Amino acid sequence: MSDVFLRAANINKSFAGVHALKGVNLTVKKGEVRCLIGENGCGKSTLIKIISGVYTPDSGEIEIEGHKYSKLTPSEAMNRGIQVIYQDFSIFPNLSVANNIAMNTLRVEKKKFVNWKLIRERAQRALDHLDVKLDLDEKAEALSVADKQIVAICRAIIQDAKLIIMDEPTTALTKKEVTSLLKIITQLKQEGISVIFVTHKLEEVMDVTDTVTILRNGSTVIDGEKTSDFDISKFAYYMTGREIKDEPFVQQIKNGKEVLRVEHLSLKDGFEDVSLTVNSGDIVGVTGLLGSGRTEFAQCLFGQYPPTSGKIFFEGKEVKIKSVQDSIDIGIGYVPEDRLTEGLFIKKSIASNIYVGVLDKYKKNLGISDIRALKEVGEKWVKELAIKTPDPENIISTLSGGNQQRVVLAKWLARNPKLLILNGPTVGVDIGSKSEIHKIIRQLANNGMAVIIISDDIPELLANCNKVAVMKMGRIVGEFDTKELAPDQLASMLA
Amino acid sequence: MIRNRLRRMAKSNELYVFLVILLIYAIVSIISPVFFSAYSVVSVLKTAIEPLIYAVGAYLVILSGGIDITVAGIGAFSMFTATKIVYEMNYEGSALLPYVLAVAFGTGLGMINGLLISRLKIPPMIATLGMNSIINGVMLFFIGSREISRVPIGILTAGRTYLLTVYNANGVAAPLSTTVFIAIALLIIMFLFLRYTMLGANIFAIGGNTESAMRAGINVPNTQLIVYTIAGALYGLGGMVHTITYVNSNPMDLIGQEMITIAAVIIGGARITGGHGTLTGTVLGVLLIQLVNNCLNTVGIPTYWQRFVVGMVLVIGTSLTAYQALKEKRKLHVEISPAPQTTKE
Repeated sequence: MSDVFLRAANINKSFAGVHALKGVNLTVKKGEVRCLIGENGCGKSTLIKIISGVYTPDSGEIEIEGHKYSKLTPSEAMNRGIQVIYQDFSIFPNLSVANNIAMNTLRVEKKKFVNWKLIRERAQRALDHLDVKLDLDEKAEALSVADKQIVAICRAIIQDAKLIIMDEPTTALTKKEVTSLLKIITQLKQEGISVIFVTHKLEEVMDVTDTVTILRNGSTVIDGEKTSDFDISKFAYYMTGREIKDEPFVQQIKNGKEVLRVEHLSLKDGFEDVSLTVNSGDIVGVTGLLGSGRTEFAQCLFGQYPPTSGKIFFEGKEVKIKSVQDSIDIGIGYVPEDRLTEGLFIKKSIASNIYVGVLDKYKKNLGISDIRALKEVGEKWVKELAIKTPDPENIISTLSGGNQQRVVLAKWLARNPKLLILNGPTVGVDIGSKSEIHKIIRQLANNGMAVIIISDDIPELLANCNKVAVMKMGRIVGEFDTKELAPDQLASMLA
Repeated sequence: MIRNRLRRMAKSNELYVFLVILLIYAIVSIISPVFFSAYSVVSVLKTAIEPLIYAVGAYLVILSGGIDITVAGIGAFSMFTATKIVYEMNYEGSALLPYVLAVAFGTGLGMINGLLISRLKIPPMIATLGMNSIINGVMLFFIGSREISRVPIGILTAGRTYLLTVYNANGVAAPLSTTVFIAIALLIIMFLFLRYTMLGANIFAIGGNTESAMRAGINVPNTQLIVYTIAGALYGLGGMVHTITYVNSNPMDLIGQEMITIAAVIIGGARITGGHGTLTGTVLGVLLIQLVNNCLNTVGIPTYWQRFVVGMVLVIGTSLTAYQALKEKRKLHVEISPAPQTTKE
């Protein structure tokens, strides 16, 4: 079995009594592109940290190219050619591209002095190898996300990587950038470098990877079977252990009262001449690639960027939205794309994250907050949205991504908005929670709320919206009834 | 490539500080033409030597992502204790011994800062705030604080050795002390250290992203320890330069020096969050503050206004960069298609 690069067998790991990995197996061959999937909290990140030597397993064996390790240190893992590209790329934003790519090689060689000529040569060679052009002297913070990723890949390659582990590498990339990333991965594969690709986007799995490993609740369900034998619903079944059916949205309130109407709305460098109507009971999808103006449109409606021209009508009356406060006062709720930094107070309790939106509504004399009433609000919504927690007073970071997203939803629902804008409502949310969140959204619409979903997840839009508007280069280029639309049609409109 | 380099230079903070320095120099020269002279240049330079040495230490710390407010504490303690020792010894040798003593005290105290921060993980602000108090307390209680104006002969000689002296129209002398060589040597060594040693590269790295630095195998605690130790040594050195320049050792002289030092480093373009800023910027920051002080003297504004003006320079300087960063962050980048495309109804 000389073509096996890595074999992790029967790995166990517990944290404070929680059995995170229960006898996990993972075997990766040389030059194989492996996809590692599983729901949040299934043990993917723990497994990666064990392979890269960050954690020591409680029991089990790791074998790299025939060498057995019961305990692997990070530097041993690196010397053996295991490189992890974390979601933040481990980049030094203040340093040049050349420094970021090649300085680590000198560190590994235990050099005491810096040879800048060597660093530039090595960095240039790595860039040439991948056939990309970057300015070696540019500071990393000035690069696009995709270029930062290239830098991280270059750094891994010149440290003689034999196995590159990529943690959700495509999350912040545009379609074009994903394509060039996949090209690079193919090239690595041809050179005999193995890749472990961790992702939530199941559609991608098919395009990229040869084989798949699926973890569920800390155990290996599938290890190394051919990706081509699977389809998305099969993935979902193995990941969650149950059948997930995404039934199409059945709109119960048809031709509801008009809630939002924008006419010829424009925002400088954001979008141009956008007109859209959303009625009570509607779920309207707004889609487009990264950089199409979809997010800017949402932010504009939520008052983060006041529009440069055009009109906004809310329930038939013209309104001016100049600030977030204006937007909230009118009755608009906004669930942002990045819930961790924009939607949650990550160190506060679940309940307080919910009632923070209604602090002004529960006041006693002298303007003192009615804490008891507020806590009841928190408890009510935890129950209502079935947020999985033993106690609403637990801090929010104890929840999984899907449950955190429900808390963000609950915060807005507690205010009872008339229009709810959801930006990427299920980004980074695993497949089981995803359908739960979809259920909640549909119920809201059927109870009379107007909903806008901003997303580039086409199946999600088709399953949940009654209408989809497609944006391209800042303009709406088409508006469709989802019933009359095939998935391919929408996908080709986007590109 | 060259265009990129020019673009980066045009954006660099150093250039702006340099232009501001030229601007101030030009304006004051117009208001009071006597200012346009070698005398005023040397006056600024001679007062810049001591703060520059402190600032290089503080720059290292800020570059590594930390902060150190023991500048005045360590500086005063080191120079005063060193002077007091040679004074009590009736030492008659050269200034070398007091220099060595002051640097040794500074090194030791800086190392304590470093240990508290790197080993016990005490936030740098708190650790150095506490240390500054302790150092001042120890000095007042055990060593005293009565200035020593009859300095030992070695210090006196060193203080009276000038590289050159220029005079203004009224015949007032501005002597440039030989301590300028210390500053120049320090700058050269520090430049080489930061650019050509792995340790220097690691300081940039931990200031840029501590988490990534650990993943890259950098020993972050040791690097921090070294940074605070070097900084302490430089504060000690700077303190001794103070005593030698003014041939007088009064610890009270240094009160408030930490704020002016940090201000100079920040004005020079270093970011308080670490990782950004250059040695050149630090030098320019120090020169700018000294120039402002000097100009206020020339124009005849009382000394207590100097702190006000330094504060204003700091607030305005950082506001400009902060405002630019904010504007950059708020900027949208959607490329909008030129003509309205055919929309299907």
